[in-house]
Amino acid sequence: MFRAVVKKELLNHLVSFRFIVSTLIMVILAALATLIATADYNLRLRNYQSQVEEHRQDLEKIHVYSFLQPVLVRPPEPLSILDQGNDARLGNEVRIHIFAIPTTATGGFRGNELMTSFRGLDLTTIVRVVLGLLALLLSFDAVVGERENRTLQLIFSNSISRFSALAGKYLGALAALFVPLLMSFLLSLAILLWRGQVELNPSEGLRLAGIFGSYLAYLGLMVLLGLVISLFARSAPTALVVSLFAWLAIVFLIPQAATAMTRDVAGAEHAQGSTEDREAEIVRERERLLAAEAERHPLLATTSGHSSPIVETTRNKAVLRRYGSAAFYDALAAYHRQETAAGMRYAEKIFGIHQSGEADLRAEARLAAVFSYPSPAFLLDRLSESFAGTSFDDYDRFLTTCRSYRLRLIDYLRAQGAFDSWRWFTDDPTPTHPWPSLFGLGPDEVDESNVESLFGRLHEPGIAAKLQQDRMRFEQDPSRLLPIDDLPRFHHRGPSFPQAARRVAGAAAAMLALNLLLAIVAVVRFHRYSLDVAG
Amino acid sequence: MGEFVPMRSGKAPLIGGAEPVGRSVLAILLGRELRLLAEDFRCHVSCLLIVSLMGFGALVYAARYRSELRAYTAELARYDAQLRQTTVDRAVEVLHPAVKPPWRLAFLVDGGQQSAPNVYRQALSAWVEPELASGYGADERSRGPESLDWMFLLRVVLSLAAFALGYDAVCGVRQRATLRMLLSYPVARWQILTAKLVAAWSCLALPFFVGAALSLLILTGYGGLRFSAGELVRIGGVAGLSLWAMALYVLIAQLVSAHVRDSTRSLAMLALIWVMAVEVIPAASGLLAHGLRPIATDKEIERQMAEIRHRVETERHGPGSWRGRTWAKADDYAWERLSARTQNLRYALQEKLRRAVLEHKLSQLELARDLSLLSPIWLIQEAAERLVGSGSERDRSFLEAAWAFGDVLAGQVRILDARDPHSPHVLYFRGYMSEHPVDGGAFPRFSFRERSPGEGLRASAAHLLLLALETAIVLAGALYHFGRYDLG
Repeated sequence: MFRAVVKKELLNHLVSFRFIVSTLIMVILAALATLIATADYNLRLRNYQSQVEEHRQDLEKIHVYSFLQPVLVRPPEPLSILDQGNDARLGNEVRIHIFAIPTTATGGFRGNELMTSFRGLDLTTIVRVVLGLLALLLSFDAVVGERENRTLQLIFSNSISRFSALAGKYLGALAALFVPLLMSFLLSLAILLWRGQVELNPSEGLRLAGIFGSYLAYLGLMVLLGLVISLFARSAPTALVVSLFAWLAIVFLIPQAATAMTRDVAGAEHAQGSTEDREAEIVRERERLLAAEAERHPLLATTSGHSSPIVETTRNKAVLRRYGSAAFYDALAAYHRQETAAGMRYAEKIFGIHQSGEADLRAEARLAAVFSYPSPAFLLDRLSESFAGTSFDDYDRFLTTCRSYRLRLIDYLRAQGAFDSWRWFTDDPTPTHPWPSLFGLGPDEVDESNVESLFGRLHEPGIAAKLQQDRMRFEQDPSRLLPIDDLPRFHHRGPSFPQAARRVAGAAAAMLALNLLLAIVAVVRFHRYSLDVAG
Repeated sequence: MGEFVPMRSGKAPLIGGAEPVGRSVLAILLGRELRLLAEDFRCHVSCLLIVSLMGFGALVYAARYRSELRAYTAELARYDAQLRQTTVDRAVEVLHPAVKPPWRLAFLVDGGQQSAPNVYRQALSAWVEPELASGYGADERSRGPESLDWMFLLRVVLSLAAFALGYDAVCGVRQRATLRMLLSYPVARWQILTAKLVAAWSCLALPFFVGAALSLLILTGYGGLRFSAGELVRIGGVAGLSLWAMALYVLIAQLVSAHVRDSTRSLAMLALIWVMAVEVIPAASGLLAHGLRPIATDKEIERQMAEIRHRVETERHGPGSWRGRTWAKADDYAWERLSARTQNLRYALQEKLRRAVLEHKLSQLELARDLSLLSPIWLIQEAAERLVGSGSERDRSFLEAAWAFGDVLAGQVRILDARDPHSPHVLYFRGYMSEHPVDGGAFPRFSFRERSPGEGLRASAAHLLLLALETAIVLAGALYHFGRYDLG
């Protein structure tokens, strides 16, 4: 009898106008959204691959350790095709070096920062909006509508309990929703596998199951909500309008209001400017320290015949020098030993300041989340993003992996003796050829009276041409290239299923709790429900 | 339902017990509809939702405006501090900010200003790249959902409320019976429809007025905002547009209602139309604009920048490096002047590329906006943004003003440097310009002019005309379909 109820409900839904139209819209939108998201993913993947290749080639051309600043790139998440989350929005490159601990990623194809009001369409959004609405449309008149049509009593003409009748309605509606859900999910998956350059591994398969499960839990909740509305409404039209307003509140208003409240009212005081000021002050302190250190060495403080001109310098204090004397290079090595040690110390300090600012932002985000928990749509978003690997937590996980890679890099450099040797800043072998040798002079033959003019002569066409030839020769000289075959490797992949699930245990529990609460309310109410229309 | 009292003429009056003397049929019908709606819970829920959301939105905005103003003032103060006791030489590498002031009418029509870039920092030195940032340096994660402005309310809540109030204007068993009864009197169909339109519209307009008054009270009281005459005119304009929009929404609901037999089907159709108009069309427009007017990737732009640098440097001179100031003085900074001209050219070409990219991004945004005009709800949004001077128009005028500010700054720094006879005058490179102390006030400050109401009206004229056309079509459609509606 119970199965007959379920079957009857299911068949009724399947032939209804609202079901057919919603299913059609759902499938078309899912196909479109997934096609576009897949094309976007392919583009991001190509960009990622060319970034990785470019950085690999750059590393093969460096000559000194100060230039060894590997760039780590976050691969695009394949499941972002189903739930875009923050994957494309946040940066994907992190440069690793001694002087700072990474706190943010840059670069990546972030599209148009001016198009903030045009949110993308992905499968999770479509399920949240369209199927959420359909769930309510299928269940709002499940009880009150039949009572008005005087068909509710007929169900109980066979001996079936009230609980079974209600459960039959619930399952009938859920089964009907399963059809467009499964159709769009499988269609999206097919497009993802066929058009996308994606190969799913078992972990991703489990995460896909997690996403599908979240959709089901959400839809089950919306069906229960519709049933509860149906049980408390006086008439079917009333139930319909209440359902519509409930959908509006759940899908649009609650998440919006909660975030706005916490961001703008409770939390907007992140003293961003003051964090930057404090960081800048620490950097100035470091520079003062290093300048004082440089002044201490007589060879470093003044230009002389021993000095080595800077051939090339780039970000994060990377410096390549040539044409210096051995004595100068020894003094420079001592200076750079202090510089790198101070760099690492101050990097920790700056990171500490940054993290305390971060803590405020996180507290704010948690508060917003708590206020949004009553909205099933918000819970669905949380669950879906976590399983898809596109949440902020995944971005943080990438940054954490970058930070631990930085520590491995430091250990590697220490093991190579990079911080103590000349190879930090020069690829000149011994014996050295200080710059006065270009004029046939020794380093001690250059004094205060002629150093300026001699140094100026380095720009003479003949000398400049020789320097340029030397430079080109050095670029090709394999003995001058830094051997990096044993450089630590970097790997980053999406979250594992247990990791993703643990992160959103709270949201999952809230979703289940809401389901349970509504189920209890429905059962209790239906138990005392009058099957006849009130007079 | 009205009470029916038989009269000598054999015709019962429509409402109440007295013969309608001196009152038009329309007024009677309107009175009836209003009374019915006033007792309907849909009206109560709509009123509650509208007033509470407008009040809440105003509270949120007041808090946000205060914190934005603080951040804005702090940014300007930081800049002033940088320029205190400075020299022209140091000033060329300072990132001079052009800061967009907080958008005062964001509670009305935010237009994406909450998360749009609002500070453009540029140095004069060719070694320093300009930066375009949002939130004066706020965290990238705080780019949250849309703002709770009046337009959000109009787009999302008022539209749905209008559909909820008008979906059963004509269709449904109960309505058909009532209409049959009404039409047995000498009452035209258009009069019935008009009465329903005005009644439903009033049900939305009244709480909107109350909510608007509450909003303004909160903003001037708690928020401490004082609106200028121009701003009040714009607020009035948007309020007028909102009232028009509400009428259009009710008409759409009535059109659908006059098209179907079953009221549940009518509301389901309206809900789906709503989803298409509010969510799907803009999302699809964004994606289409993305596809039709793609933007170069960061890598591609970097490649083009590097190409410019390589081309300019190889054409103008070979390799070389800048000498110290005292050494280069010997030959009057010959190499440095050559390199400066080269680097300035390189910077100018790269800046041209950067601006072209930004222009392209703006045009992509504008294309997305134009495509989403297919939805009447977004047509209203766009009209409102143009009317008040928000949205992409504000972004565009900010960028143009910021670029012009750079030129003004460069001109002033050149003048200040020329006053010092000891300066090498190698513009604009640190280490080769005047080291005389200069007062921070000598540097010009960025100022941004908001659009005037007249300009707003001119910019939105086309959209308002299109809206008028759409309204006329929907009205005609509703009257036509209701005229032919079978009440049997």
